[in-house]
Amino acid sequence: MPRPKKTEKSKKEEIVLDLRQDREEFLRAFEKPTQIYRFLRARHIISPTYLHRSLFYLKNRCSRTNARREAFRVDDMLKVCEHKNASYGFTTPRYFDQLKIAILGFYIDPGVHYANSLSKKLNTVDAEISIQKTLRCRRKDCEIVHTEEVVGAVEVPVNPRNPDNYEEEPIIISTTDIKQSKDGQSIKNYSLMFRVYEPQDDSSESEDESSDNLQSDEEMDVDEDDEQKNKKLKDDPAAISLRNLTMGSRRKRVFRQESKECESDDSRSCKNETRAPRKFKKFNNQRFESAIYDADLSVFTSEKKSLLLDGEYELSLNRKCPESNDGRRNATWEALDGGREIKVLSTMNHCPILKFKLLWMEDDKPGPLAPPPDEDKATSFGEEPDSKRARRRINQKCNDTEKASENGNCNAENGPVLPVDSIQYRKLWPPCDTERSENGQLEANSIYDPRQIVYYQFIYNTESQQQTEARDDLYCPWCQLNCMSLYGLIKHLKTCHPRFNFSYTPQSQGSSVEVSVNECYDGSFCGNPQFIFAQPGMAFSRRGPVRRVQATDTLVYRPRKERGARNLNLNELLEKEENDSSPTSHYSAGHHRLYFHSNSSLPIRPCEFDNDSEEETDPDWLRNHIKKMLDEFTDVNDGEKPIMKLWNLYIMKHRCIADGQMSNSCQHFIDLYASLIIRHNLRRNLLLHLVTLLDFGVLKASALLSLIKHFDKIAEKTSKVTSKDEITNGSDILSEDIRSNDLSMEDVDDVSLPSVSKQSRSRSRTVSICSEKSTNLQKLQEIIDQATKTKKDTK
Amino acid sequence: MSNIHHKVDWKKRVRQEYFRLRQIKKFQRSDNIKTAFTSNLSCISEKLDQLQEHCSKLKAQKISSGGSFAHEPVTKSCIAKSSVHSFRDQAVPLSTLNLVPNLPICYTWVPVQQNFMVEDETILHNIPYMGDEVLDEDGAFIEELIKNYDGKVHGDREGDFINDEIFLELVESLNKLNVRRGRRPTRKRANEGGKHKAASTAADSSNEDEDLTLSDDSSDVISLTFPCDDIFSAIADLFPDKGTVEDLKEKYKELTEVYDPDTQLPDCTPNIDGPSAKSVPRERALHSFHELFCRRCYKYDCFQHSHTHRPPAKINRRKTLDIQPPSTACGQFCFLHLDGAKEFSMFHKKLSSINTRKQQNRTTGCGGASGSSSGSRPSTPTPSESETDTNEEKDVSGDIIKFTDLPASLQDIEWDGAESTLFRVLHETYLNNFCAISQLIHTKSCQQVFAFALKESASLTTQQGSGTIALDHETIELSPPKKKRKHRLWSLHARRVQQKRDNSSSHVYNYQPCNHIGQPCDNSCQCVALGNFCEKFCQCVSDCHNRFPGCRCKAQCNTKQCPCYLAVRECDPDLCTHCGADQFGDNAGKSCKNVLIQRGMHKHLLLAPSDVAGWGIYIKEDVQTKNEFISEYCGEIISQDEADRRGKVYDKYMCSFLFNLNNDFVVDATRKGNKIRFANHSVNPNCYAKVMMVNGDHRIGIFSNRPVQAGEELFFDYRYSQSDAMKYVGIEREMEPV
Repeated sequence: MPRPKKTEKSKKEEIVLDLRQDREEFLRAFEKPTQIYRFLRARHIISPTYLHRSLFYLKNRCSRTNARREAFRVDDMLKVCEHKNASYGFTTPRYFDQLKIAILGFYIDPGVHYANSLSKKLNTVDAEISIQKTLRCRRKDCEIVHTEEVVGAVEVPVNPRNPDNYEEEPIIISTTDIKQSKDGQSIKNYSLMFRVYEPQDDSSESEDESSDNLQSDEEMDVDEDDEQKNKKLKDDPAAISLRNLTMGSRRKRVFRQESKECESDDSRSCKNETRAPRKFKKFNNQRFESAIYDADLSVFTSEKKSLLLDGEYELSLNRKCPESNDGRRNATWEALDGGREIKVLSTMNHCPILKFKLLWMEDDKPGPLAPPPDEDKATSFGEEPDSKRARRRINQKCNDTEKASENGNCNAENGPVLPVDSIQYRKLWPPCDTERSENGQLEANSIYDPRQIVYYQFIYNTESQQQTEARDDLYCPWCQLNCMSLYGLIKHLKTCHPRFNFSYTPQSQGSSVEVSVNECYDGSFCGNPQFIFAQPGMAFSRRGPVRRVQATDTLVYRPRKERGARNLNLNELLEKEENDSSPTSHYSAGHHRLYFHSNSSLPIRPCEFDNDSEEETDPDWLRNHIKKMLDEFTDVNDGEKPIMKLWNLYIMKHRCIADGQMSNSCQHFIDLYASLIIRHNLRRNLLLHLVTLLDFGVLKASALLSLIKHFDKIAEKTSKVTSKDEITNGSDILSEDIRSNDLSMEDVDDVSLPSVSKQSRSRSRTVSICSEKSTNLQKLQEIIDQATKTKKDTK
Repeated sequence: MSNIHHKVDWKKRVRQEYFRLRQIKKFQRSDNIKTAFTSNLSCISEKLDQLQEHCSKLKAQKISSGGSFAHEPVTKSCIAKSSVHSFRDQAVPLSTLNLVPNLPICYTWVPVQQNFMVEDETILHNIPYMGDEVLDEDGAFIEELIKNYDGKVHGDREGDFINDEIFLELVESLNKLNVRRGRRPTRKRANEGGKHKAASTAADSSNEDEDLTLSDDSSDVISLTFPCDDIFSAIADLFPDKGTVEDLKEKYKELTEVYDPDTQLPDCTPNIDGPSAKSVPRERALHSFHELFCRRCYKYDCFQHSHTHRPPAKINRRKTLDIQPPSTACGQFCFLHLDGAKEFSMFHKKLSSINTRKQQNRTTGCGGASGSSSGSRPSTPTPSESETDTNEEKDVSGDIIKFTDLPASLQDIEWDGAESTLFRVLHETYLNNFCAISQLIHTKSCQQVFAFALKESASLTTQQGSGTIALDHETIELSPPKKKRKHRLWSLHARRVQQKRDNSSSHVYNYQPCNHIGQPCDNSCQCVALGNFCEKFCQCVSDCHNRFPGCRCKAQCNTKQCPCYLAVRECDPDLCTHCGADQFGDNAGKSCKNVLIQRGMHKHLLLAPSDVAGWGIYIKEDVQTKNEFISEYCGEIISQDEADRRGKVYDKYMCSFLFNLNNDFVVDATRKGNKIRFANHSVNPNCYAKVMMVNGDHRIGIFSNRPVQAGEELFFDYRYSQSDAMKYVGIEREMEPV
C-alpha cells in the first residue's frame, strides 16, 4: 500500500526534479546567446552603429517619407536657413521688458556636497541674481565700466525631489535699460550673475576660512570629487549607461571661459571680464567671500541678439574662484557615448547645477508660460509644444542643432525609453493588399492584427525538449524591436539573430516560431574582418568618414515564382525543401576577409586597398641587381656602363614588347634622360647604343637620325640653361645610378690586388654591397668637388 | 738529412702562413659582415623613413593612439586593491582586445613580374631545417641531398679547404718570405743581381714556355718573381687533394696571368666619350653593346636569356636601312657643292644596287664559314669588303674624286679617335650619306666627313695591296675574345641534346633563335628540329617557311579561329597587325585579347589566409567570363636538373612552387615569384594554367575556368596531366555542406 503511494510521491518529486533539470537545460541552451543579444541591444542603444543594410522588410517602421522629395528644389534649403536666421534675429524681445526667473532648485551630488566647503548638509541655499553690465565708455582713457546690481535673492531647496511642485516666487528683472544705461552709455555686455550662498545664519564657520585655504582645499576637493564619482560609477556600470543615456550627453554647460569666448568677438572685453571679479572683491568683499558657487549668463551678444529664450534651464555653477577652477580637471575617462569625450558635455555631470525657469514677459501681462504674442515667435517655436516642457539648454554655439534633438530627448526624463520606440511610425502600407490576396497569402490580415499571437517554441537538448512561450505583440524578444509586422519580425529574427535557428510555421491562431540554438554559428563573417586587426572601434569612429572595405553585399534573392509580386510574402519564410540547385558558396560574395600585403604580411588597410603591389615592374632589388650585374663586367668601359644601366632601368619600367615600339621608347628615353646624358657627357655612347639597336634590326636608320636630332635640340636648350646657373642636381636619383656605377669602376682600379674584382661576382651579396657603401661617401665628396670645379670653370 | 729537415721546415712555414692568412680572412670577413650589417640597418631605417613619409601622405587612419583606449567604449574596469589602508584602490579601464588569428607560415620571397633565369647551383647553399624530428629520424635524406651536390656545401671551410684566392696569397707571401730570408745568401745574391733583369723580362712577356724552362733551370734565380718548387711541394703535401706540384704550379701561373692588370686593360675599349678615346674599328667600338644586348627583351645583359640564347645582330638589315644618299644639298656648305661629290654619290647609288646583289651571292657561299670563325658576331659584311668592290668599279669609271683632289683646308682637318671611330660605326649604316653622318657625329661638317671618307677608302686601297686575306685576318684578330663571364649555365647544351633523345616528340622545347647563315631552315635548323617556329629573332630570312605567319584576325583573338590562339601563342605585335596587337598606348587592348601576358595586364590579386591550406590568393574584381587572363606565374627559370635537386627539398617540405615550363626549363616560384604563387591546388578549380609562347619565350598564364566573383579564392590544378601522380599538392578539404 505504501508502495504505490511512495512511487506517486517520488513521481511528484521526479517531476519537480525533471522540471528543474529541464529548466537548467533550457537555460544552458538559451541563456548565453540571449544575454549576448541583450548586451548588443544595450550597446546599440548607447552607441548605435549604422551599417548599410537592406531593411526593406521593416519598411513600415520607416518614419521618413519621401513625399517632399519630388517637390524639392535646392533653393528650398537656402530658404529654410534664411527663415531660421530671420526668426532668430527677431527673438530679441522688444515687447517684453521683464525677465522672470524662477529658480527651481540647486542640484549637487551628495558626495561633492560633503567634500566641499559646505560643512553641513543643507536643505536650502540662498541664490542671488544680480545684473552685471559692462558699459562702453565714451572717453577713451577709462575704457569700460562694470556695474553690478543685485536684483534679488531667494531661498532654493537643495536637491529637491520633485522640482515641479516647488513653487517659488519668481524674481523679476526689469530690462528696460538693457540697451542703454541710465546715463546714456551704450552697454557692451549685459549678463546675469547667479550666486549661491550658504544660508546666512550659519555661515560663521565657513566665513572664517581664508580664501587661500579655500583654494588649496578646493584643489584637493576636485580630485576627490572625481574619485568619488569614479567609484560610484564603476560600481554600477548600468547606472553610468543609464545616466549617459538619459541625461548626461544632452546637457550643456557654460563655462565662464567658454561663454567669454563665444560672446565676445574682441579680446578686449575678454580681458576685462577676467578682471571683473577682482573689482568686486573690493566693493562687495564680505558678500563675495561667502558665495560658494557662481555662474554668469549673458543676456545678449555683442550684436544685440538675445541669447536667452523662454524655457527651463540648467546652469552649471563654478566654484567661486575662477583661477582655481580649471575646467580640465573635470576630464575623466568615462567616455561612454562611444566617441571621444566631449568635455563640455561631461563636465555637466561633475558640478552643481542650478535649475531655473526663465520667461520674458511684458510689464502688464504677468502669467506663467504665456504664449508668445509675436507672429515670428510663434513660427520659430512651433516645433516645441509647451506641453512637453521642453528644457532649454544654454548653448550659444549651436542653438539649431540642439533644437533639432529636442524632440527626441523629451522623453528622457521618464526613464530609459528607447529612442527607437518613441518614433512615430507612419502607418502607411504600400498598395499591395490586393496582390497579396491574389497570391493566397496566409497571413494577409496578420500584419494588421494587433493581437497576433506568436508562439516561440524553444527546442533544446538535441531537439528532444521544447518549451513554448507566447507573445501577443510583434516585438523581437531579444532586442525589443517593434517589428510592426509578422513578416518583419520573422525576417528580423532570421537575419539579425544568427545564433539561433528560426523556423516559421503558420498556425490556426497566430503562428509559431521554432527556436533552436544554431550550433554551426561560429561568429565568422559577422563583421568586417578589418576590425579584428589593430583597429579597434574604427567602425564606431565619430571623427568623420573613414574608408571601409565593403564587407557585406546585399544579396537580393527572390524566388522566381513570386517575382512579379512586390509584396513581402510570408511564404518565403516557410521551410523550403532542399531543392536549391545553386551552390551556397555563391551567396557569400565579396571581400569577407582581411587581406595582407604580400611582401610584409601586414594587414591591408582600407585606404591601401586599391594599390596593387604588382603594378611595379621594377622593384628596388631588381634595379640594384641590374646595376650590379653590369658593374661586374671588367671589360665594359665606364662610358658604356651608365648608358646600358640607364637603358635597362628605363626598359624595365616602361616595358617595351615590340620592335615597332622601339622608336617611341627611344624618344621617351631621350626626353627623360637627355639632361643626364649631357651632364655626364655620354652622347657618343648614346649614339653607339642606338646604332646597336639599328644593328639588331629593331630601329630604323631614319628613326635614329631623328632621335639624335631630337637629342641635340634638347642639348642646345640645356646648355643655355646650364650656362646661366651651373648646378648639378644632387637630388636626382638617376645621377645616383651613374655615381654608384662610376664608383664601382674605381673600385676595380684602385684596389691593387686584382683578385678583388675577380671575386666580386662570386662573393656574397652583402659583402659586395658593403664595399660599395663604404666608398659612397668618398664618392659623394668627389662629386661635390667636381661640381664646384665645373662651376669655377664656367665662371 | 738536411733535405728532410728543409722540407719539414717548409711544411711548417706553409702551415703557419696558411693559418695566418686564414686568420686575416676571418677578420676581414667578420669586419665585412659588421659593416654590411650596419649599412643594412641604415638601409632599413631609411626605408622606414620613406614608409613613414608615404604613410603620412596617404590619408590613413592611425592604428591605435598609443595605448589609450579613450576612443573605445569601456565596459569594465580593473581594480587593484591595496592591502595597505592608506592607499587608494587603483582602477584602470579594462579593454579587451579581439582575438587575432594566427597567420599561416610564410617564407620570404622576392617579388618579380618577369621570369628570371638563374644558374644551377653547384653547391648546397643550406641544409634545410624541417624540425628536429626530421633531423633525427631522417638523416639519410640530408645525406642524399648533400650527395646530390657532390658533397659541396656552402661555407664548408673546415680543414684543408683552400680556394684560389687563399692559394695565391699563400704562395705570394711565402715567396716574399723566402726572398727576404735569403736561404742561401752568398750564392744567391750574386746570381740575383745578374739575372734579375732577364727574369723580369721573362715574366713580363708571360710566355709560358719560357717560364717553364727557366723554372726548370734554376728555381733560385726566378724566386723573386716565381716561387720556388719547395713552396709548391710543401703546399701539395699539406693539401693532397689539390693535385701534384706541377698542377699547383700551373694553377698559379694561370691565376697570375688572369689577374695581371696589364693584360686585361686592352680588352676594354676606352670610353668613346672619354679623353682617351682611341680610333678603333667598328667591331671594337660596338663590341660590348653587341655582346650584351638582348634582342629579345631589349636589355643589356638581360636576366631572362642567357648569352647563348641571345640572338646576334642581324645581318639582313636592309629593311631598317631606309636612308638614301642625299640628292639635294643639306646646306650652304654641303659636301655636294664640292667638285666631283655629286658624281661620287651618284656612282655609289648605282653601285650599291650591284653591290647588294653581289653580297647576296657571296653570303650564300661563305657565310657559314666566317660565322663559325668569329663566333660571337659573325661576318657582317665589313666595310673593307664592300670597298674592295668599289675599287674594282672605280677603275672602270675612272673619274671618281680622290682625297688628294680636295681642297687643302679639308685635308688638314684633325680627326680624333672618337670621331673616326664614330665615322666607321656610322658609315656602314649610312653609307655615303655624309650629311646624315655629320649630323650624327655632330662635331664635323659633312664636307669634312666626306674628306675623311675619301681618306679612309684611300688608305684601304693601299692596304689592299697585301690582299683581302690579310685584311680578313686582321679583323678577326682585332675582334677581342668573348666577354668573361663565369658561372654560365653549364653543360646546358649537352643536356638538351641528351634530353631530346630521351623524351618523346610531343614535348615542348625551349625556343632558341637559329643562326645558320645563308642556309634555309631545313632539318639541320634547330628550330625545325625542336619543332618550334622560327621567330623574328632568328637569323633566317623573314619569309622563311618555318616562320609563324601571325594572324589576320579582326576579332579579339580569343577563339580557336585565331591561328595564334590555336598555336598556343600570344599575338606577336610585329606580326599580327590586324587584330590590334600592335596598338599601344591609348587605343591598346581594345580588340586583341591575346596579348595580355606580354603586356602584363593581370588582375588585381589579394593575399589572405586560405580556406583550404596555408595562404591563398583572392581576386579583387569580378571575372566575367571564362578564359580570361588572371596573372602570369612568374619565378626563377631553372633547368630540369636543378628542379630535380630542388624538388627533393620541396617534397620534404610538402610545399612546392615548381612549374614545368618546357622540356628544358622549370619555373620555380619559391624564391622569386609573384602573388599567383599562392594559388592552391584543387581538383575542381576555377582557373587553369597554360604555357604560352610569348614572343619567343614560354610563359605560364593563369586563366579563368569559369566566371569568378570578386573575393573568390583562386585555384588551379597542379597536376601535370590527368594520369600524373599528385606530387605537390596540399590538403584539400571537402566542400562543406551548408
